[in-house]
Amino acid sequence: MSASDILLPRTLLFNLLAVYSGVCALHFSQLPVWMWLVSIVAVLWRVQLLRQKISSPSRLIRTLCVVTLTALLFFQYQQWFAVEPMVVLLVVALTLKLLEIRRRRDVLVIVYLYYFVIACGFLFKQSVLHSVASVLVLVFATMVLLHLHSDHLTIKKGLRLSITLLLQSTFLAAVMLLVLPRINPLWSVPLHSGQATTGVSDSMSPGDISNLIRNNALAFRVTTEKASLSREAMYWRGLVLDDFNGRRWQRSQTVSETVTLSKYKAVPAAVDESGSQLSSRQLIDYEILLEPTGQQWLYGIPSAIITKGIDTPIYSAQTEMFQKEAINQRIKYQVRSNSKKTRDIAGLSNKDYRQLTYLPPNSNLRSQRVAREWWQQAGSNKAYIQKVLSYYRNNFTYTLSPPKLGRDTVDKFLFETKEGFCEHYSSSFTVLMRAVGIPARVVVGYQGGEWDDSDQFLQVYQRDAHAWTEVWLDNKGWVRIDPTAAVAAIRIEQGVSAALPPEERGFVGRSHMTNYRWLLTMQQQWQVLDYRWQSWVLDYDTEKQQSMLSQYLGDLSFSKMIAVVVVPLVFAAFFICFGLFRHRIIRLTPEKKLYRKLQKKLTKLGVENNKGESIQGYCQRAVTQYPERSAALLVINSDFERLLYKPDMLAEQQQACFARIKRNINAL
Amino acid sequence: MQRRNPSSRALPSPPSYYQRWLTRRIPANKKQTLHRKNIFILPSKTGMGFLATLLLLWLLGTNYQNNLVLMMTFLLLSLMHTCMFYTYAALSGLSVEVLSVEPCFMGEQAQVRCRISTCSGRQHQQVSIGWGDELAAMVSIEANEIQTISLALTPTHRGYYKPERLRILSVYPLGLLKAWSSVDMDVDVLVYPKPITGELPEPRLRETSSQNKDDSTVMKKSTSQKEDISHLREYRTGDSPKHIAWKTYAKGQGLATKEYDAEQTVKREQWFAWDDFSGLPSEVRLSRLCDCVLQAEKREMTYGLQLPSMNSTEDAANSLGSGTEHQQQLLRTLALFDEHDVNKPLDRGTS
Repeated sequence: MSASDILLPRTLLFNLLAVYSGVCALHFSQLPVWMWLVSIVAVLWRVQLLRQKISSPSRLIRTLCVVTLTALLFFQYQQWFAVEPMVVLLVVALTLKLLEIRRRRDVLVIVYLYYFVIACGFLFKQSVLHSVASVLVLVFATMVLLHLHSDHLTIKKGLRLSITLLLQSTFLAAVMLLVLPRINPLWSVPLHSGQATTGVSDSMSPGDISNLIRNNALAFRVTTEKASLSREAMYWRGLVLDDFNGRRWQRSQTVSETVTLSKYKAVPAAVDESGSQLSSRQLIDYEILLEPTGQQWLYGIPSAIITKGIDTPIYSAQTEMFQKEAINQRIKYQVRSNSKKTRDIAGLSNKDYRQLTYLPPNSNLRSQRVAREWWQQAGSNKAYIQKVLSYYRNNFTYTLSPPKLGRDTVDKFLFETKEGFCEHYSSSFTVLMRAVGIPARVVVGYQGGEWDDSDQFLQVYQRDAHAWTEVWLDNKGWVRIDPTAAVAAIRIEQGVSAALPPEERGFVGRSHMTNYRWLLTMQQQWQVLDYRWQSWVLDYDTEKQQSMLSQYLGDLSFSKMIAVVVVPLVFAAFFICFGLFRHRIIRLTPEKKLYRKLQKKLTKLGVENNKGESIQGYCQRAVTQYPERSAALLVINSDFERLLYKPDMLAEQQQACFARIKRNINAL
Repeated sequence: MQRRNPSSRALPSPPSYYQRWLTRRIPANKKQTLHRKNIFILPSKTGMGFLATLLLLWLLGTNYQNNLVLMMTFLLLSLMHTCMFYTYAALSGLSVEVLSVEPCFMGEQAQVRCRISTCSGRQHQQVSIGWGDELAAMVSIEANEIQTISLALTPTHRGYYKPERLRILSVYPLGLLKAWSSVDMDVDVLVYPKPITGELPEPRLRETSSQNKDDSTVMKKSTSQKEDISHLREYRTGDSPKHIAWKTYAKGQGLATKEYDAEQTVKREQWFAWDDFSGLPSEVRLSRLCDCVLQAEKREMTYGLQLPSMNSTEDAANSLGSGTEHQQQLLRTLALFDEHDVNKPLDRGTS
């Protein structure tokens, strides 16, 4: 291929621009805002160039662009050695290259870059929709290559050819994906350099969770047997918040501190024991498919240990579970939980006790006073807890839009507004406990979930976010108490929207009671599709590959391996060739077949058929050359003529004719 | 008819193993049809770049254990596999047949007319056809279409020039693979010497029957040397000063040009001899002689050639004559003139 300067067809250049926009759209969330502006300017410039309204950027402008954009990139990303900045860098390179397309080779470089950047998109997003969009862009990128090598191709034809080519390639590609051996990662480069976080956060102030409840996004999926999990047990514990400043709950030790300190810690005894000492009846095994959160903690039903999926799970003293890196991609891990067990720990140290009963001295004074009165009336911790819960049960309303609380949030909530949801209840309950010296802490996570139609997996949404309390009882250890359940038991049994008054149900991301039944069904089916996509396509790994291969092929022998390679190749080749060479397969009528046979025979004898020659002429020529075979030849001639020019012949006569011709040809 | 390469003194290097193999595999023929035995296919440079990109993609997919990236890698790899068949199909079934070859002068391009047809029932797009490394023609042909094209080739020597094999190449559809065939079209182009223009040499005498080449006495032209002036006409710019009627000019009657009627009425007759241009290198002599022949024909002279290699009167070229056929005869003699015949007259005599 010559790399000389040529005039590139305009359709090709426009197509190139279209693919560029597509590639940028695929990386929508990765590209910084300024990059969007740069892209738009570049596209407009290129279009003007095509319309010959302005000239190509000069060398000075190009250099300036490179310097400015590199500087911008540098300021945008603190960490350079990650995929995300690299992808943005590639897009920058693409943008600049777009402005100086001169030769065929420039186009080639751009298309190859397109391929690479499209593939990079899969590192960040793997949803069905994103994949479909990527395939579309791929089709158009391939079309650019087509246009590069055939100048007179219309867009429609190019599109059709491009799709045909890719479709014909899918079979072999799928086989390669299924069968080709995989190797482990060669090196690792972090994907992101800092990303926004979603889901439950590591602090809680009034309003946080109610915002989350309006969010319809999926938090995680749980694959397990439905029977093994009752709805009341579905407390997906995330983080423990033990520090209160009068308004806001947070961790006394930040997450990063916890992770670094616990880095080399083995599994705490309390968690570890749960695996060995208990009967299997009380254990639940399940798999969690966690959507990216940008955070480090993992969810599970207490008390849980991670059995698979996380290389180095980290357990904190509060028996939370962490992973070393932030979760920026869907991850899957398996958990074993013992939901019945109340943990025995040696006891609380004085320091812990101080921390867990601490309340800011000058806030929520009324609550503290009332708490002490109630405790004195109750006489014991247990009775006190019951008294507080019944106070909630009798006086409070569950609502997502509570009145504003002033400075002393708990005071106002407990004695004035008496309306709120889980964060208010857990927060005030914990304060009431601490006020009388019962160690207590707030736990955030999710509660409940929705089974899909086939009951194969449970989907937990952001709207299932929940907060509850854990209190330390001297002879029992940590005990979970959910004050929300006292107010609105239905919240625990049926989910948020069921617990809300009817006029508030619209606040929740999606309601069970939606009026559009078909919409709901479609959404559910989409979820199932997404789940299948994840479990069949995205999770296909070496292990699954081996189990599949051994299932279908049994023990791998050498000949089987050859077959696995050769058969798909042959099949694919046949498939493609049928499309390409089908013009050659011409259906011959029986008369023509016989005439071919005659031609072959006579050619062997030295009488070649001339183009356009009649049967009679041909036979006569043969007779002059071979007079001794004239009898057979003449019979053949007359039979052919009868076959061709007498359409009213009976079927038997026809058969007889065919047979006679055949016989005579053989006799020649 | 002798077919040799007269001007290349050094023996051509013996054909390489590949060349010999190619000659055996695709023998020379005036009509060549492309099929699986004479089509070769390999990844092109573009294809190598593509494969390099795929390697990067595979590394990306493996490092992040990302099935979608791997799937895309395999899809593109498989795309290359698919293209292999398309590229092959772009050539398979194509026929090239040489219709005619026009002789040409050295330094000019020869045009070989070829008929391109297809028996595949498919259309063939963007097929490049050219001799060896020469600039190739791009041909797109519809199913069952027949096209006639001229393929230009630049000969590198005088005489019978055998071009390099015809290279038929296609990178359709994506340019990732190139399918090509190198076919020997059995073409010999007659290449005349490059004409170098100049004055015609002074006419020499020659006895038509004489074989003695040393005899170089000047002979009278068959027509009178002193041509009769038929009339005078007005001077036009560009007329030779020799023909100006100076006498009349001296009389003050203005410039006039003498017009002779000799050229019009009686054909001039002239032999052009090898020795007319003694002292020049032999190729230049041939070029000058070539020009003489062309000029003589243009002036409708009767002319002939005297070359050292001409040894017999039977030689058709060895006579006076005129007309296109005669001219071509002489040009062919010049084209095929072999210097060795001059330098080794004894060899020729003994053989």
